[in-house]
Order: sequence, then structure tokens, then C-alpha cells
Amino acid sequence: MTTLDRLQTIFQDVLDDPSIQLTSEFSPAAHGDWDSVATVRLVLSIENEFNIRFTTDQVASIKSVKDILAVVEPL
Amino acid sequence: MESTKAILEQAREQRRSGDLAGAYASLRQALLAGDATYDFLDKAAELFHRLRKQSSPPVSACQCKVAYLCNHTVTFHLPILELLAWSEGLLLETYAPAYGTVMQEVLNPSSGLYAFKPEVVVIASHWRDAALPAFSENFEPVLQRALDNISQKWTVILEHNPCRIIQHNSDFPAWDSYGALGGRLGGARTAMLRELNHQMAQIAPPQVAILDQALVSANFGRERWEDDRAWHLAKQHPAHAALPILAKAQLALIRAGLGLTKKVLVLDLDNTLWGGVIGEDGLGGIKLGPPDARGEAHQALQQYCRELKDRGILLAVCSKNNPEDARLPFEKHEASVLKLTDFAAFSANWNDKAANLLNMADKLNLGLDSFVLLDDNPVERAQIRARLPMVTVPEIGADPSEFIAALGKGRYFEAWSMSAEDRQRTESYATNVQRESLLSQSQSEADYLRELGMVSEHGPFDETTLPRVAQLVGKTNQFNLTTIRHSLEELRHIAADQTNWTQWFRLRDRFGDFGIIGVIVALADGPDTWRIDTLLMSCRVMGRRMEQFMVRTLFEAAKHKGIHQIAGEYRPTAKNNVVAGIYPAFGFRKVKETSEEVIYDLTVADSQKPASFVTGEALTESSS
Repeated sequence: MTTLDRLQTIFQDVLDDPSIQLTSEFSPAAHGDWDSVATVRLVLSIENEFNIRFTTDQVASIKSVKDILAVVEPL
Repeated sequence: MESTKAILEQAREQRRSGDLAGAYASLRQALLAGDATYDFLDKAAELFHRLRKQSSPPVSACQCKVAYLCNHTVTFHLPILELLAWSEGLLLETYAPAYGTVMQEVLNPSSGLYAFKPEVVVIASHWRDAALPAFSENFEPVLQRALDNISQKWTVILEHNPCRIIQHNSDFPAWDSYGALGGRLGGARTAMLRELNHQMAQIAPPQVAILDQALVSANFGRERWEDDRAWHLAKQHPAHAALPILAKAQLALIRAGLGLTKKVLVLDLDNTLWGGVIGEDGLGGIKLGPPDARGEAHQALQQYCRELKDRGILLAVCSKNNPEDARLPFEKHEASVLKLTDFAAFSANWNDKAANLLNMADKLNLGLDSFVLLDDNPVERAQIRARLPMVTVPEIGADPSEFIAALGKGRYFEAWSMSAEDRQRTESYATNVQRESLLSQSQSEADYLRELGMVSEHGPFDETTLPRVAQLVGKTNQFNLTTIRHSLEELRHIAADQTNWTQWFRLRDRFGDFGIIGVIVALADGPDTWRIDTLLMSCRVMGRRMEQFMVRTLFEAAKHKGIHQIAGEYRPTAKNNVVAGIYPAFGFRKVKETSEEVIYDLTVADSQKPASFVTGEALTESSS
């Protein structure tokens, strides 16, 4: 499973929408339920799944999936 | 936990396919397993939130309007609180003022807060809200100001909107810049917060319950309680992971305020109250007390139960055993903390446990939804859950060292206040056994009631009796015509108005004193009319025609005060069917009937004095 696949599962789970097809360009503009609250919920779930912790800055600057991948991918 | 997730996923799928009732049912099933992790509850709460937007949840036993006041974000917390409440049969409607407007909402009488008319207000403050400096040379006025800020909110809220208030006491910053000195120097922040908590508890009026956040956070783990990143990013307090335990603590007090607290702890015996099987191992073979570690764990559980009993929780035994074997340890084992007299009911036989519990509820005159069953046997637990879903059956594992924690985490027995009646409750149930033997010797019911020698003191509400009156109003479910849950403050208001008539009733007989067991509130409804707002009686004294005496006292007072008409009202609930026929029995005429209420009317001049076997002793009746 690629990192993007794992993230897709989390996005589908947190946003309760199995139709989400994740790309690195996917952003809040692409999904009505991805608001700032959802960002926090997503981060908490991603941290659980990948056993990592985002810095305050990294959470605050999430603008799209690309920013999440930048934190998760180096693993 | 995997299966819990699978059930949740099924619930989501059902919602998406439009099967909302199915989704609610699956969600409830997923919650039953008791997964209290934030990760699970967050997703379950999100689903619940979506479902509620689409359709109302299936009928809940109770509803409550809760206002949530705090200076941090509630976005993550309220959905979890609502979800957990719903899983316990309580549908919450919540209101939270816009971020940063708490004080304005409290002070402005026409604010959204008061338009909402909350029944419970949660003031969810935390250590930052006290706005204390790290150190203050002259700290007493600083402390006083912080305390005044808190009590002023209570006063203003209660003035505009009589209700119950749950006030968080303060947690503590995990990292005090003064280190160990922070708790030692009088003027340091940690020491001041401690003092604030202490004084808050001293000055809180009866309608305010203090949620011991200092303790909740310590139980959770102070280093994990706060997440500074979540605070800086989203003004989230405490950490997300701590929200479930906080919500549970709040919910327990909300339930207590609504009279939904548990009243009976039913205990299994073998491998629950002692190690081993008494019928096989015998008195010398069971493990109870030192030096055996497992024996100590069972003894500690007995001690915990004994303490619950001493504060008014009824203990009962329900065990598959020979009755003589079952009693033996309580009579003869030197390490047994519990004695036979500590139990309000004792059921040891080979019948099915569900049948025994039904029987017990009947005998104690209490609803099964006020029962908690502690049983080490997972098969028995599953059976009771399936047969009697209203009984609370915590998962307790198999290690007796974990039983106390399992009970404690459920917060089943949270109470808003304590009264003298609480401490005597088991004795009161125990003397019922003596009464039963009198009943079996009596020729007729009338003989029996006469032989009991019942005496009732009664009088208008005053400061001494108000706490117990408020407690009865808050929790009486069966013999309660309207189930209107006035707070103590509201009752005080009502009693202060001389045109209303309030009365408490105490009952004793030759075997013992029940304390205050009956309450009537008649509100002036025009110059010569009373409307019975509250008429209730503790289930412990049902079947003694005490209600006859209470209504007779009401009629006499009405005549004395020149009242011509008395209106009565019956609001049916799931539990008060027993009083459905009361008003007609006392000669009231039905005026109107809807599904929510039946209205009755009585002309005082035509009323018949109900016969009663109770001798009255009127106290401090006003001379007017």
C-alpha cells in the first residue's frame, strides 16, 4: 500500500466519504467537509496511523495533501 | 475493538444508503462495547451528528437542554458529550455561546443563553480562566477576585434562569515555572488554584455541583491532559484524547441532576466478592483478605461496596448458590467486610438471574434501570444484557484487582448532594422485613396499617428541609404526577411566595423512621385556585395509604386558606403509570386529556376527606 493509499483510507474514514479519490493536489477546496476542524481530525488520525507527530507549524500550514505527504513521506 | 469498528462502518454504510433507523441502531450497538478512545468516539460522534441533521434519533428516555460555557473551543467536545449521553438514553440539546462571549451572554438578560432556557449549565473553565499571575506578593485579594468572578456567574445565571449548574474546578498547568515551590508558596499560581478549588467547594450553593477537574485530569495523567499544540492551533482544552473522560464526568453529574443516577449495586458472590466457590471450597477454602493477594483484592472490593452502602447506595446479592452457603462468609468469615445486614436484598438460589433481578426490582420497588450488576462471569453478563438491557452491566474483566476501577470509571453513583436519609437507606429497607412479618400476622390490610402506628410530621419547605425536598423532586420517578424537576433554587422561590402552598411529609412507624418521603407543591392560579404542580412520594412508602394522608392535608389547607378549586395534572412517563388513576380516586373530575397530560379539577367544597391510617403532626404551619 502506498502512502497515498493509506492517506486515502484515512480521508475516507474521517470525512465519512468512501468516494474520495486522493491525489497530492487534493485540497479543502475539493471537498466541502474538509474545513479547519477536519484538518485537526485528519492530523490526529494520520498521527495514529503512521505513529508520528506533526509540529505546530506543519499542521498550521496544511493547504493540500501535498503538505501532508511532505511530513509523512520521508518515512 | 475491530468488531466495534466494523459495526460503526456498517452504520455509516446504512446512513449513506438512506437507512437512518438502521444506522442509529448499529451506532448504538457499536457504542455498547464501551470503546472510550477518542479515535473511535470522534468518528462515532461525527456519524451521530450527520444522522441528527437528517432525522431525529429514535425516542430517548429523557431529554435535557444543556448550555456549555467556556473560553475555549467546543467543536470537538460537544459532539462526544451528546453521543455518550444518547448512548445512555439521554438526548441532549446543547447551546454554546460564540467564542469569547461567555460573560456578555451571562450578564445580558436577553442573550441567547437565557432564550435557550437551559436546564443544566456547564461552566467548563480551566486554569487559564482564573487569570492568575505566576506569583503574587499580596495574593489574597487576587484570589478573592478570582473567586468572586466565579460565584458572580452562578448568582446572575440563577437569577435569570433557575437551573442546575455544573462548575468545573481548576486543573493545573502541567509545567509550573516555580516547580515544586509553585504548590508551596501561598502566592504561587498552583497554590492559589488549589486554594480556589477549596473555597469554591465551600461556597457553592446547592444548585451548583462542582466537577472535580483537578481529580479527573490527575486520573487521566497530567502530562497528557493538555496538548499545547492543540491549544495554540485550535484553542482546544484539554487534549483531544482526554475529551471522553471529561465528557463522562460531566454526563454523570448531568444524570445525577436529572435524577437518573443508579441506586442499586447488585453483586455476584463466587469470584466476585471472594475468590473461589463457597459451595465447593468452603469457608476455609475461599480467598478473602490477606495474606493471599487475590483475597486482598476481593476484600478491597468489599470495602469499596461497604463505603457505597454507607453513602446511600443499596447493595444486593444475586448469586447462583445454595442460600446457606451464600450467607456463610458474611456470617462467619473473619475477613468479610460486608455483613448480611449490609444488603437490602439477598437472592441466592439456582433460578435464572434475570428472573431474580426482576423479582428484586419488584421487592425493592425500584426500576431495573437504576440497577448496576457486578458479575465476574462473562456469560451471565451477556445474558443479563440481552434479557434486561435496562440493567447496567459493566465489563469488568476477570481480575478482582480491576473491579473497583471498572465500577469507578462508570461513574454510576454520582450524586448532586447528600442527605441524612441517604445514610440510613439500607436500614430503612431492612426494617421492611420486620414489617412484612407483621403483615403476614395481620388479619387484613387495614389491621396491618393500623398496627404499624404511622405518624407523619409535615410542614412548609424551609431551609432545613429544602435539600431533601429538592433531592426527592430531582429523582422520584414512579409516584410522581408531573415529574417536574425543580431545582432547589426554584423550590425556594415557590415557597417564599405565600400564595403558594408547599408541604413536605415525613413518615415513621413503630419499626423506624423513613425521613422525608413526600412532597406537594400547589401553585396559586388566581385568587381562590390552586394548581398542583408537584405531588410525589418516595417508592419506599408506597402501599401504606400515605398519599391519602398527604391529599387530606392538602384539602384541609385549601379549606383553611379559602381555596375553592384545585386543578391537578398527570403527565404520563415510562415510569409513573402507578399514579395514573390517583386524581379520579380522590374525586377529581377529568377536564382535558392529550397524549402529554391529563388535566383534572376539583371543587374543594365537594371534596371527600380521604381515609388514612396516618396520624399527623403539623410543624411550623403558618398561622395565617
